[in-house]
Amino acid sequence: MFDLDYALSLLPILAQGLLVTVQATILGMLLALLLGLLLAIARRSRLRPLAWASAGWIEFVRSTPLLIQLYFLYYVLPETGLGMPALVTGILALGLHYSCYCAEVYRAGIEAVPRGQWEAAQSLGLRGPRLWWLVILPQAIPPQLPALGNYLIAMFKDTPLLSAITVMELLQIARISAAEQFSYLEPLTLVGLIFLLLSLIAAQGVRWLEARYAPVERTS
Amino acid sequence: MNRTRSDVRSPVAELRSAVKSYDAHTVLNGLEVSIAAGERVALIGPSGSGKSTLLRLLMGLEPLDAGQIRLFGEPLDESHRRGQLHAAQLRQRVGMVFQHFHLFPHLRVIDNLCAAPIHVLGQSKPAAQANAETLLAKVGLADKAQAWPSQLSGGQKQRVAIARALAMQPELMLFDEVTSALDPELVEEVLVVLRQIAHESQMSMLLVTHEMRFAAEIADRVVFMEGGRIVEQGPPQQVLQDPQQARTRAFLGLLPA
Repeated sequence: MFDLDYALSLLPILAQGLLVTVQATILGMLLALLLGLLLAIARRSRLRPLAWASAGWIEFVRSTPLLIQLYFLYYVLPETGLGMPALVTGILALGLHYSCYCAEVYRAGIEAVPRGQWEAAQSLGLRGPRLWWLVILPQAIPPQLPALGNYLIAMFKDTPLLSAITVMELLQIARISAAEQFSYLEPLTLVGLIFLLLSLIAAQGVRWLEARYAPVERTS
Repeated sequence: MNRTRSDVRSPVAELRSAVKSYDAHTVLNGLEVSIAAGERVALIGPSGSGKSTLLRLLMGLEPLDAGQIRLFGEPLDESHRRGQLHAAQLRQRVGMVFQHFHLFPHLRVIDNLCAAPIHVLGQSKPAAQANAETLLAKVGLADKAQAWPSQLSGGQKQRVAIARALAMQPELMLFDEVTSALDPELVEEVLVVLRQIAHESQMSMLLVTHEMRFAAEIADRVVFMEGGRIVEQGPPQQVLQDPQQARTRAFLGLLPA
């Protein structure tokens, strides 16, 4: 049966694992947001090879499992001399993987900016990075924040995959504790509850974003 | 009005043998047009006659299929990167106002006016803001500097759009049916502003308009276009009151000559 005392004794060590999980999620998401934006912009480039390369990369990454990407980065890449600590590899893999989903979200936001906005900006001499920074992105991104928030939650729930490359995140710590005590019920239940609780809180945040940035009548 | 500057100064913008088509539909077919420095040209004609396309080609919003564009005496060649940069520099001296305003909805009115002067012309923020406030006062919207575009009426939006274009101190302004999207009672407030600009500045102006009386009032030359070609052009009195071409007479609702 469920041993409450044992479960409580696990909390400090699980807190350490949670710290790693949260760290991987936040840093991974920052990487995904930044890289995804660059991919989305590259995909719209007038330089055809760049646009194709970006589109091809997005399709490739989205069509292969994250677990295989993790294994590849952790076990194959070091053979070329590019070895990285497990957590760094995990963050990189999460960021790379989710950047491709974020790129598609950004793309939807960018395509929703009316053509007239591009033309007005162009007629004022705004081009290149300034055009993106001053006119397009401030209109493209806010409506997509809920979608990006959902990917943050999805990424958070994917972090247990990092245990496959020895990262001492929540699930990995729970599994080790369980193996030591021959009792899987308590640690796995706790890990599940922690994920449930944090995901629910984050989902609440996404709902708030949806209300805050609900598509308003856009008359310009 | 008795302006003669159009025949002494060199052209600010020219289209030579301009061809432009969308898919199978030819919009401009060998169009030749030239706007002199300081000249005010009104483009009239039925919809689909290529008037707006002409403006969009000059502004670089559409690529030309064949022919040549010259701005301020210099030919544009956008087939390579250096030529594109050169064209972009020349087009900084050209402003445009659109039928549907296209204000930046995420920026306050004052920031709509300041963005390009600060980030393109390199003006300091205080200088750009001072200039923007002067321009807002000129278009009668001094009290709207801190407003959001969504809080303005159509006429107010268009006046802000005009001020925003003026903030770049263009030498040539393109006005693309700037009153067509407005409720009838809001048209006049925009025309008042345009009239004032025409009287106060030396800027060249190319206007696509359906307001014939307004065209007669401020234009040095009226150009009647149809099917991507110029049917008739000349001083407003002549083209609007005594056109020589039957097609022009029909468009203006005049009895056959």
